[in-house]
Amino acid sequence: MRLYSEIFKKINVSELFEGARCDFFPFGGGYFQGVKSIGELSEERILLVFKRADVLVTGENLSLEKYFEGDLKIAGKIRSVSIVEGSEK
Amino acid sequence: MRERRLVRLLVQGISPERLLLKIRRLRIPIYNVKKVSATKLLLSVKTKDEKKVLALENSVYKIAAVYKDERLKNLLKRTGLWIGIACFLALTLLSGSFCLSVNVVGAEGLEHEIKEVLTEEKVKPFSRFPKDTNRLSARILGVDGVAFCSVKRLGTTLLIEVVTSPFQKAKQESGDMKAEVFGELTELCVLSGTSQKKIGEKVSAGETLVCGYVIAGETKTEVFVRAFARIRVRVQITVRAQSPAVAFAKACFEEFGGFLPSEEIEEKSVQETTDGYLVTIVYTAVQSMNF
Repeated sequence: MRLYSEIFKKINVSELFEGARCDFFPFGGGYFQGVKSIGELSEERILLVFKRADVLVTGENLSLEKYFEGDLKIAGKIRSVSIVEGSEK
Repeated sequence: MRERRLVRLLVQGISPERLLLKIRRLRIPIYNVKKVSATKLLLSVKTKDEKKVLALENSVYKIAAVYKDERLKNLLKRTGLWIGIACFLALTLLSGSFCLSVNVVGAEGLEHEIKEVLTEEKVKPFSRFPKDTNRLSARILGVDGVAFCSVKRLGTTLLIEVVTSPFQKAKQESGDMKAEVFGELTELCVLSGTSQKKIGEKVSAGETLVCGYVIAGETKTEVFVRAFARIRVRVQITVRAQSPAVAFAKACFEEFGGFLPSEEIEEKSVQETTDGYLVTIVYTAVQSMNF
């Protein structure tokens, strides 16, 4: 999308975030890049461990639809995506 | 897009989601991960990666394949396969009741009659097998000359085996026996029927010699006449000819269409008259009915 490419041009995404990226639809699924591992997994909470921080995804009927080489797709109803306090590395 | 074949695995252990990291390090894609309980995790991997994931099993994590769900689900999705199975079953069920060929064996000289019977019974290639083979067999046995008949079903072929009788039964004539010529009845042998004439009586052409019935008491029964008769015929013809021999020959051709065998002629004479020659031939005509 043009908007995204414009934003990313200004920010050096790979250096700043080291490949980490979160795309999600409120009350829908989400797509996450740069996931190192899964810290916690349940239908209500999924803790994603990135290189720079941990991200907590909460919602209903959450499940990992696909996980491969850092790319992760979450299915279910995502209510919130937040960086866990104190998890910055 | 080709649908991937996945196998469902159950991981049991403390914090089973930690195993996901190990699987990730093996560069194996994971699908449909769901935590069933605190110590159980369900995930799917491609069939080709199953062994690699199962090899990660250790004292902490137990990994087992759960085959049932995925395979059954995949099988049910294969619409073409189910349509093929249904078509195959339908064809198998239907083909068994249809006759693809009719083979008649041993019916030398009776093919036409047997074919008529089969047509009347509606037995032909690509028709249904006859429900009552005994009835068909009985009908074929009714054909003159057939001594034995067997109707068998061999797969999709109807095999009809026929054995003909070496002595074919002649068709019997019904009705009365009538004289074919005018003359004197010299012999009459009646095996079946009622004679109407006596030996020595004069008979005319078309006159009844033997009737096709018998009377026993007050009962009259129709029968096939079986009889044999000899009639002495005296023929006199006047012909114009150059000589008696020619006159005789002309008379024979006029009366019989040719010469009679000499043993049948009892008397012959040729007399010259004013109109030509008077040829007289006396012979015996033999006729029979169902004899």
